[in-house]
Amino acid sequence: MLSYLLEMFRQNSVGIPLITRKVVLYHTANKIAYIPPLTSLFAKIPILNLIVALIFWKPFFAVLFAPGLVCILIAILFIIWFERKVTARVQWRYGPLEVSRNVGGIIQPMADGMRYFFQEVIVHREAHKPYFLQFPLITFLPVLLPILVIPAGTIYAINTPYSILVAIALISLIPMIIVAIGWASNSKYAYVGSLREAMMYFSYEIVLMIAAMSMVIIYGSANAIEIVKEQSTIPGILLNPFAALAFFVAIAMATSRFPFEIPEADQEVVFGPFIEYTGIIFGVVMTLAYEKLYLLCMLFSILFLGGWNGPFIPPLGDLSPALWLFLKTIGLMMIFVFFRTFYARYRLDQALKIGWSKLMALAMVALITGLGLGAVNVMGWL
Amino acid sequence: MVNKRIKRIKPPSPDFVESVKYHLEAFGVALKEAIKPSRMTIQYPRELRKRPKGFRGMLVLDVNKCISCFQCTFVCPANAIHMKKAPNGKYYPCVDYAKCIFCHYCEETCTKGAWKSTNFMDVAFSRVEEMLLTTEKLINGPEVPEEEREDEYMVEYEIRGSKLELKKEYSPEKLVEVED
Amino acid sequence: MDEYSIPVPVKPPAEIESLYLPVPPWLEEKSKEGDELVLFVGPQHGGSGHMRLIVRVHGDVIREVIPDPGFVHRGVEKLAENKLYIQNIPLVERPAIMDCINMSLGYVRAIEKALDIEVPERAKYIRTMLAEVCRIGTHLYDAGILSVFLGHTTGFMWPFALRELTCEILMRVSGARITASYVVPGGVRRDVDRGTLNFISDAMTYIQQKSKDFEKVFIRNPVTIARMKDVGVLSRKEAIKYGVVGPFLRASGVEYDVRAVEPYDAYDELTWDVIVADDGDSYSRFLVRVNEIQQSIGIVRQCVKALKDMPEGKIAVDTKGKMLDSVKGTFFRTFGRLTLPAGEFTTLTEASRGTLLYTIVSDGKSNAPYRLRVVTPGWYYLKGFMESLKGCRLADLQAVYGSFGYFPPEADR
Repeated sequence: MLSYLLEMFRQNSVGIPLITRKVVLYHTANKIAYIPPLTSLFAKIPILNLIVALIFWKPFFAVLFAPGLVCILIAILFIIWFERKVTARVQWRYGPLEVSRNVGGIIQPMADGMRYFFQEVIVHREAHKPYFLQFPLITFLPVLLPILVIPAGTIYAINTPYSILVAIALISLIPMIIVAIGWASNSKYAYVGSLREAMMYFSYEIVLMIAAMSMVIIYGSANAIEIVKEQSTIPGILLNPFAALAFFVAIAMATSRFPFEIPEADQEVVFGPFIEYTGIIFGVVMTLAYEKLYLLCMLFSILFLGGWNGPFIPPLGDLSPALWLFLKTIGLMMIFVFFRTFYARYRLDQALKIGWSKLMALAMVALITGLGLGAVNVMGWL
Repeated sequence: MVNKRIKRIKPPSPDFVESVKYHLEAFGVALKEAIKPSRMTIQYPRELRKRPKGFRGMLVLDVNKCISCFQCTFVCPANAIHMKKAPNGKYYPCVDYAKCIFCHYCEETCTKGAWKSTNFMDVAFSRVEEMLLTTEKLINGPEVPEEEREDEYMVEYEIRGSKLELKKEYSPEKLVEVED
Repeated sequence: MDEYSIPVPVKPPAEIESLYLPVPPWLEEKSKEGDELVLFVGPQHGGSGHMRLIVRVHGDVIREVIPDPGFVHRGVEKLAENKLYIQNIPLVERPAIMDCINMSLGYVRAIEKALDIEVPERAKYIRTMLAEVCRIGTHLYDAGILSVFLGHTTGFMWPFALRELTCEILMRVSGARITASYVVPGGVRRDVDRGTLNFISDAMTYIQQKSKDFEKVFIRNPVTIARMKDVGVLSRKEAIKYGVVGPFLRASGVEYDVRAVEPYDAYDELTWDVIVADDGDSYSRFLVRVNEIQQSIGIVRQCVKALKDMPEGKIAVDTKGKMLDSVKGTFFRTFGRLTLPAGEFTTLTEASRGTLLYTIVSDGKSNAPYRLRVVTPGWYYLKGFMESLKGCRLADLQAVYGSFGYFPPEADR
């Protein structure tokens, strides 16, 4: 049984020459001495070899490392630092600096995380205690499940023709949980905040889906691997810029970036649905918007920016496409957080109006463009 | 209304093209500052702002000039100064920095110029009782021990043309200076 | 998690319960019948000052806002009765410390009115100049608060950074960054030298130049315009009815400015415009103050020019009419024993946020005021502020709050 599992893991494992190839130490006439590759280090030890093989098993690697949990963590730590730093720079300040002065305070988010970790978690008397504590952890489900169907080059968990659709459907579950969090908090501000979240959900969701669909129509497939393959010559943003713009604004609305930072507005509803959270649970719910931003930016780069297309880096092997995808995602996230520096936030009714009038019109134009390009089979020509 | 002109202002009501232009302008300004910021923040414990001449800081008493006229006690709006009898029979002032509001009425009141200001205003004490500075402490003035000093630079704002420059110079040997 | 309770029966006495104003116990129940939500905004809230606003919201629309001021009441009027006339100068500028010169100017002018003192020309110009510097500082402060209420953090940091220059000016002139205590009956405390005057005119240039960038990033930002236009409208009639003052009254189309109607100090010798807007919404209230910054810069420039042409010295005058070059060494002797003739002396001042009233009641014998009446602009326009909120969206609360620049310490005194 174990050997069968081991065989299954090894057949579908991630190939990274940098750590799986042998490193030759010296080479004389009849003797070759080399350092064994990292992966085969535990090849002979019964249980450890299974664990190592499991880690490098592609589905597991995808969820846990790239583009999954570890990448999300790195992206969040970097983007929070970057957001604070670039905002400070525009605002004639220095930003986080005191923790690790030599590297511009880049480990400040980690320090904040530590602080959150050791802070007391207060559950107020009015809260619905089980749900109040569970929901922040349940949010990891809709955040991590889309990773199963979003591939990063050759690293993927499930190769399905519906990957884009499933990913968007799963991401759409996050607002439900935020609304539920607001309900479990049982406070007036949380109530107002979750109402705002629900309203925002109505305003962007359809636009987001239509924009994605218009691209799916052009490529003739909802499989992310196929979509990226189609974009090897010309990226989707040039084919259908309307869809790109609509998707872009919808992401800003979905992840409550400025100018649509409405559900969590500090000065109006004091972090809205998350008002009652403290300690590490607050840390978890605070990063929720960033996790969503990461996922949607990844979708944006797959749909419009050619996904993991980029020069192949031989030593990284399978990681090379994953790296390109990661870099494009981070670049997009940097653009989104830069909006904080020069935008105020819209009012709720204004955001709804934008979502259902201008943005919906744009999405319709995108859909028509997509239908037209799909009808003439533009991908076939290119 | 006397001879003043009335200026009526009209708030802008941008149409679509202007609105796009305004969006781009806001983005452009932010991008310009992100690339080349006109920073005016100083990093406090390492850099200190240079105080101008005539700054109203913590007080120093020249006890030889004091004639015990009590005027500084009378004029103090916060009742921070009170007089205490010294061994030589004369009365000398003490300052309670828990109450002092740094209005320097006392300095302007003193007919003999016994009160003098320093360029130092970091009123930090570890205990409340220490905030009452007796005459002996006022004579020496505020002191910062060498090992507790963190400052490296003194910064002064200087406007040259249309640019604000932070003029930095190394901190002086003695942080607290008495003004004349 | 265990809950701990202290077994001490803590129940307020019945006579105190009746003082639970303005939150009557039945408000919550009654609002439920009317399909309303009662929100308590403040005094500890990200978007409110030291003040509680009780908001009755129906859906997303505000039906009524009940103010609960007084959290930072410091009893300035009562404290003033126990102090010498000059000791009150640092006290009366406490309510709005960023506006210190205007606050003390009104009080000092009331004393001068009582004693019939004519202030030397140079002192008049110095006072006017610093009053306008304070006005710039306060307007920048309010613009920053408005920006951060709308979520625009850059619009918060830039005016606050520019305000640092006005603090620097005050520090170089008077020696203190905010609570200057600089104006005394009969003049000012110190003279301004040429280097400082040069710095002031340079700082004005810098503020003017940087406010162009601020205009691009915040004032003309389409998001700002969308948030503030046609929000919290007070018509000309309503503004007069509710007793709104200052820039907020002018934003509703009323051409009233104390500096123009009853000029004091050097205002009638200078050229400047009274800024008036017609819309009466949040955006006009903000724009009027933004334009006033430009006018104030013009006034400061004119004052600097006039002060450079004047001979230095002669910045104060004592009660007997003797000119003083400096108050140093003679401060208590000159001003300490001021006794005002019996009667009531009232002055109106145009402080940054509007009309500021001081009334000194003197019994003619003592060296402390019998009664000092201070009515600050914040207190005047509180009613108008609350009325303009009716019918707004809940999110507009912050926009209207910021557009009025309401400053609770100033209103509560």
